[in-house]
Amino acid sequence: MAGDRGISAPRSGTRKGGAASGRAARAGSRKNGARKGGTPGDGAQEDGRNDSRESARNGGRDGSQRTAQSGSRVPHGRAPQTTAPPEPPEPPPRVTVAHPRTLAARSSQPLPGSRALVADDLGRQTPLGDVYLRSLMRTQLRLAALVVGALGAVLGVLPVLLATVPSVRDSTLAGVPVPWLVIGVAVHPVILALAWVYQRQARKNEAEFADLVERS
Amino acid sequence: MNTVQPAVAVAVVCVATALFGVYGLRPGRATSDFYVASRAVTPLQNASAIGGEYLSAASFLGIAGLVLAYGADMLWYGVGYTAGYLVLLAFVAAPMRRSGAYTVPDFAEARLQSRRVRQLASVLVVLIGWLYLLPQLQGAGLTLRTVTGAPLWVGPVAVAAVVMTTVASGGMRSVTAVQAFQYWLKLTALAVPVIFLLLAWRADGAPWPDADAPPRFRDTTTVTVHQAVDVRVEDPVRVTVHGRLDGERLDGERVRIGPGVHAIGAETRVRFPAGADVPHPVDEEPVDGLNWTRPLSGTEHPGYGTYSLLIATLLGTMGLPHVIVRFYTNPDGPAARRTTWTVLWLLAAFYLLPPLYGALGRLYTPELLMTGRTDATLLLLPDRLLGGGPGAAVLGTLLTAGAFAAFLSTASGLTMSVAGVLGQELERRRARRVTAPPGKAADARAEVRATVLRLRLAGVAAAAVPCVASLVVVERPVADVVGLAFAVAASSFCPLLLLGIWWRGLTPQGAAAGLLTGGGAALATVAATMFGVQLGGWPGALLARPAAWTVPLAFAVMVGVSWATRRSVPSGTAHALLRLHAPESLNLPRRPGRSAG
Repeated sequence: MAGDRGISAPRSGTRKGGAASGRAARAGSRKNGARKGGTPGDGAQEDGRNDSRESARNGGRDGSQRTAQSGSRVPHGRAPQTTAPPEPPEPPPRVTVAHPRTLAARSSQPLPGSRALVADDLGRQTPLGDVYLRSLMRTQLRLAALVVGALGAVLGVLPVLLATVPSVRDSTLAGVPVPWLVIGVAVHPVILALAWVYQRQARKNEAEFADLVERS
Repeated sequence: MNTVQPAVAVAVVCVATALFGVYGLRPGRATSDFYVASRAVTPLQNASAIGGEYLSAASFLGIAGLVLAYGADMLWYGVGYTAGYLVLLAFVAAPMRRSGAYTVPDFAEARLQSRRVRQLASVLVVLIGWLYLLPQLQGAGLTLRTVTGAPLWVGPVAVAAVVMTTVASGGMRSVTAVQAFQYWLKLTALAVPVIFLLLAWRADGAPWPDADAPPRFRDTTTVTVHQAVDVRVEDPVRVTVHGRLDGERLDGERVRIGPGVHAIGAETRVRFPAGADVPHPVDEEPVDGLNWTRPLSGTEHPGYGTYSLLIATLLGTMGLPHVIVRFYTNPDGPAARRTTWTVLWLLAAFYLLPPLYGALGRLYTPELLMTGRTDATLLLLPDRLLGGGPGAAVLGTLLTAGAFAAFLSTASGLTMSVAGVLGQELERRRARRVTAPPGKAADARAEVRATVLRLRLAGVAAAAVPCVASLVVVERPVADVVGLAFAVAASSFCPLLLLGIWWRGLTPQGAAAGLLTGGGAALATVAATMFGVQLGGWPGALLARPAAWTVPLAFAVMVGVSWATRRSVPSGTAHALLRLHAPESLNLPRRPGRSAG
């Protein structure tokens, strides 16, 4: 039912880019935290702006500013707006030239130090981590709403249906009126089926999320 | 009916529960043991305990009674009680467990960082808990009187005493063991007798009460009227009366009562011949067989009533204090989901049974419509259908034991959670007064002892108040009152939990306004119903089944006020949501100093 709608993964173009941006964003947030003396920000949005501004400045210094803007790998167009000041012209960024097969082989094992980076982002609530969290919440909420919506549809239609359609209302099965059998017995398997779908899919969503977070 | 056996059964269930409670737990002495069994209970055990706790007097006695009186529409009670768990599973179960708090007020404070919302939630937990305890205790009184003839106050006092003993001595872990056992006792107590009753029904020609006529006595029936009642008689009938009829003292005389209103005195026995129409209380004309059989025709405004009932039960389940606290006994979020899934099976199995008793009751115990004690259907059926042999006595005893298991398990779960919240509030009040220096070992032990003592006192208070109230308030069908408790929970905690878990924009002001409006409106209708305000037509329907308008009201106020005060979204929102939704397997680093406790 909702099987094809997994976690929308914020994927990076290249492994290197991803790792670099993660590190840069973290460096920014660390600075942020230090400056604010460890108090929480007034919300992820503001944090995000600060982060990206600082990481952009960092990027300007070490020459990888294009990948350092956390916005460049954020899905759903919810990227915090970069408000970096205009910067002096830069030499073009360095690009690794390699055979796709080599890239694929490299990407199957994480780069040293990149493991659990997103988990770290999540824990520190960087804008990137926030995007991951939002995507998980959206997936789970969609699933829950779908299941409960199906339940609501069944329970919303049944009372009227059973009372107004004469052929259903007045027929009996083995001496018992059909509406009694429907409300008293047949609704329960529907509830159980919905619960089964929900519980399987929710577990899958979480596994996918954990997988995603640990692989990136 | 033989009164010794059921009395013994009740005593055995009570004593066993109390012993389990007192001796079932030795090591549990820390506060967390007291609250949530140290969070180490297997899903099946936990699910049985949830089932045991959840299946209250309303499910065990009440549904059958309402089905007897109103017919097909009341079947939705069982569906709603089960489906409420599906909604709970989908929206609340895993995040609730991950929130790491003990109670709804804990959750409110962790999520919104507001002491005021916390206090408001505490007040609501206590009120919902008491409202739910009330019918349990009244049901106990009714049951004891039906099977043994004891005065009405004996049941509530016995149940309250056992519950206080259990709660004060052990806390949640012993309660878990007791309740897991009591689920299976309740299921057995309903499932075994119904087999014999259905066989007897088939032997009787498998009748169905669908004739277009008022309910009739199938056999010569002696009705014992405990409380004086004015009844309307449609057709003249010859009866034998022991007691007072129309102010006249009769002692076994045969009299003919004509059409019109007749006053039957308290403690009067009236013997009706087979085939006579059942007289009904003056204002409560029973539905005839056809309307009883058909859905959406048994009551006034049946459509509104049915949907309002469904809304209350679907959304109210997640807000019941004793249900929520159970999720903290799971080791993690996925376990909480597995538990809920198992609970759904247990509930679905259970709710197949009460409607059978209700339908059989319509055929064989219609006199309950006259006395208004329809909750006693279950207890009278074996005697009526099986003709008073030893078999009927055994089955009746089993049903009585099951009913008491229902009262005790629900009452102890509710008392436990109400006591937990009361105890926490007391502790906070004290902690604010005395800011003790970080204690040495001896101090810490004394502190734990003081905490447990406070919880015990809170447990006594939590059970004593509804016990007193149950002797004062007007008696209403058990399932009706429980439905009201669901409505209050649905219009207060449901919006708080749903929006708190899934919406970033919730503010403390919004939550407080929503709790006050929704919970307040629902509680006002409850108070009106409890103190006997009778309104006809639409106002009556809106008052008797408030959920359909109070729940949207609460949601609207909560969202609207949150939006208006959107500048004060708590700063820890993102962190709290991360904690609620991130799978445990990630081992996320926690920000130092910002634990949501």
